[in-house]
Amino acid sequence: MYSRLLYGGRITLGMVVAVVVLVAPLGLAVGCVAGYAGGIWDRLLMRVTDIFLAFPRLILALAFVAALRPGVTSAVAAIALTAWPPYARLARAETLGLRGTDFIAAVRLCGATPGRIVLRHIAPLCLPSLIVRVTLDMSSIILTAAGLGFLGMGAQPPSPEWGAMIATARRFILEQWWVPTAPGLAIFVASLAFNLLGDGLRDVLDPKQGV
Amino acid sequence: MIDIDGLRVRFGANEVVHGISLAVPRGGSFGLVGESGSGKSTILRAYSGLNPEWTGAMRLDGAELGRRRDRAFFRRVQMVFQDPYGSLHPRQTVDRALNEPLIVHGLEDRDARIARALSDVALPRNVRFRYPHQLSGGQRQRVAIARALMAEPDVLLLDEPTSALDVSVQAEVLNLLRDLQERRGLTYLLVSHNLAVVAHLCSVIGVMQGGDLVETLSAADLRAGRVRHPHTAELRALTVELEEDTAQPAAAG
Amino acid sequence: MLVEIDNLRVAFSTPSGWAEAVRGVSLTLGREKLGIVGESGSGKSLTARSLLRLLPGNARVQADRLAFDGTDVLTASEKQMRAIRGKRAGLILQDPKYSLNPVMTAGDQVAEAWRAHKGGSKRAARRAAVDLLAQVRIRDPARVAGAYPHELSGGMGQRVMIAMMLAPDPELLIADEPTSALDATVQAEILRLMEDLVSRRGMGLLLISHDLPLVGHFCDRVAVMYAGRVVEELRAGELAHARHPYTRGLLDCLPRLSHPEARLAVMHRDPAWLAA
Ligand SMILES: Nc1ncnc2c1ncn2[C@@H]1O[C@H](COP(=O)(O)OP(=O)(O)OP(=O)(O)O)[C@@H](O)[C@H]1O
Ligand SMILES: Nc1ncnc2c1ncn2[C@@H]1O[C@H](COP(=O)(O)OP(=O)(O)OP(=O)(O)O)[C@@H](O)[C@H]1O
Ligand SMILES: [Mg+2]
Ligand SMILES: [Mg+2]
Repeated sequence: MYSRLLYGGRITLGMVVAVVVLVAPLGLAVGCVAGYAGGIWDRLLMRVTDIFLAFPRLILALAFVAALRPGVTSAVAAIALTAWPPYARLARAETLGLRGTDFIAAVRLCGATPGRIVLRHIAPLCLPSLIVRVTLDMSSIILTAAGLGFLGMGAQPPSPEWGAMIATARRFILEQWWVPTAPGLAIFVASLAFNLLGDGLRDVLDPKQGV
Repeated sequence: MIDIDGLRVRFGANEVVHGISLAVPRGGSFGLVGESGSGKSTILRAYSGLNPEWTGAMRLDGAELGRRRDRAFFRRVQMVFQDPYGSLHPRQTVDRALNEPLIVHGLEDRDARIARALSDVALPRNVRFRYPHQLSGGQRQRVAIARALMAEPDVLLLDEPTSALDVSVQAEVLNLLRDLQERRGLTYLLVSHNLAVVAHLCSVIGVMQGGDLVETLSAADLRAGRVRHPHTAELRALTVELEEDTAQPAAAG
Repeated sequence: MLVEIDNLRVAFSTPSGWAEAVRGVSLTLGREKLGIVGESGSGKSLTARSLLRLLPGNARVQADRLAFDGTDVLTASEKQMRAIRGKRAGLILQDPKYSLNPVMTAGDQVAEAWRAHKGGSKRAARRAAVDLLAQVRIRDPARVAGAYPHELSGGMGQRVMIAMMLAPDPELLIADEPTSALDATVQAEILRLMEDLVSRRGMGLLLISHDLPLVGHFCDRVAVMYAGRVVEELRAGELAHARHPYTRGLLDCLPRLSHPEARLAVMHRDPAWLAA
């Protein structure tokens, strides 16, 4: 039981990390390019973002997994697909604020190419708020992953993913309530931990605190 | 060197520069003064290519400038911004800021160039690895000037280079700008609201009001009070009035 | 007395111990205009900020007395301070474009300042905001009210900040370099506006600037700061007869319209001034 819980942590948290690794750079890239290029690019990219944003996350993920084969990989792909739009929005908002500043104008006057400006000068400034947002979001990614597992669309039952564990143990909830409760608690604790981490990071990374 | 002819700049439906013309010879310096919000910074930004929404003609050394500027242009023309708090990247050290133009233009010998630029603007060596928020306003502005000089331009566009500085640093920066001009034959287009600063550095002065260049006169004429436009006269009168309070005994002491 | 400062010291914790930035400043201010001049880094802004307890977290403030209209700022509760800040004492910050909210229009920011202290409907606040912008001599205030900070010229940003601070009719106005980006005509107008508030409504004004002639012309008294101390305090009219070599140096390195010079004098700082 305990070892299943720990081992399940590896799967659930592994899924979360995989999602984040996919999502954060994608959102950052889309947002920064849209924000900096402006005009037609901005409109195009933001409409695409809006389309993804308009679907409820779990349902889109469900549909996507159902279309593919249920399993960890497709669950990760599905969650990633639905998780990037908020980051794109955030990065775009930050970029719009930065685009008009004098220090970016100064880099343009050095003759730097737009690619270089976005990559070396704008993206690093968007990063802190993005990181904070990601850690705060991790809990909801855990929940989505667990939700998919619970519905049988993520990791498959014999493998000890937390959501799937709850699903299989649901039958004993009256006689042996601790069996499904343990993974539930694990989900809760992990989510809380990421939220606290996010809060802490926000304090550390907040540019106004300056070091 | 700089030639601007019938320049108009608009932001959306709002035209803020209504067709101004000016010319600065090689090695010369032209000062723009005038009402706040009259479009002085906008002219500099249009010339440097930061604002593509203009009509009219602008030339650099006889060559017509288009909407887009190439890298060679940025080697020849550099700008110093009005606000030293806003013109340095908050997360980059002085070293990084000064390196940027060198990397972009692929110049060799970066260490030596940076060290020389810092000593040119009279900054101590140890500011090289500091962040902007660890510098005072005056030091930041000198970093901005050093950055503009990195790629060895021929033309400097200076937007209020000293208005954020205290008077003792202002004197140092003005002396520095004058030395650089003598040593390297730079051409200046300088914006300031301080008539005394402009008259000190520039031989020809243009006065702006509400998007128009209402008067162009020589520094000597301005000093002597040979002005034609009422706005120029008003600016001059207020400046002289302030100066007189402190002038006599200071000159005696 | 509106403001009493006695032996104010402000220090920052650094890796090598406490570094004192303000080293024993004493000032008083009634319903009058006091100017503070001095070079960059001499502690002018810190002195002003301590008065409203608006210092960075790593700062330590000590004073024999630090009071605003009888309220001891050092021991006042955070609630008392909030009632003072913005409403009874306004602070015009030094770097206006940095201090304005980049994603809010100028008009909204002024309207918010107005509403926070006067209440009333959004519409009324909006009208009052346009009115205030006109008072600080912004041409076309209706358009500027709808502009974001990056769409403003340097001088406009500064005036938006001034309009925000004048909105609640403060009893004390601390203006940190309020006119450094303004041309002479607008500057004269803004100073006239402040003058009017001082003489008509009995406001106290603390004007921080490095423009010695301006301060001398406009204020009643001038305090000259150097390296965290007030080295000389004199009546504005006597500025031309200042005795301290630092004050004299400040006067000498100004470029002058009426006396052209090939090179400006630069200041030679004497280590002895630190001890003075
Ligand atoms: N990005 C922008 N979008 C819209 N309007 C702008 C923008 N930048 C400047 N303006 C407007 O253009 C006009 C001229 O601004 P500019 O910055 O050139 O003035 P300035 O002469 O430099 O004034 P100051 O001395 O106060 O700096 C102002 O009315 C300003 O509101
Ligand atoms: N957060 C901080 N941490 C450490 N030192 C600081 C901090 N803020 C200010 N200082 C130091 O305190 C000193 C006084 O700063 P202050 O801002 O009062 O100068 P000032 O007289 O207003 O100068 P200026 O004319 O440039 O505005 C400076 O030397 C500065 O380096
Ligand atoms: Mg300007
Ligand atoms: Mg200050």
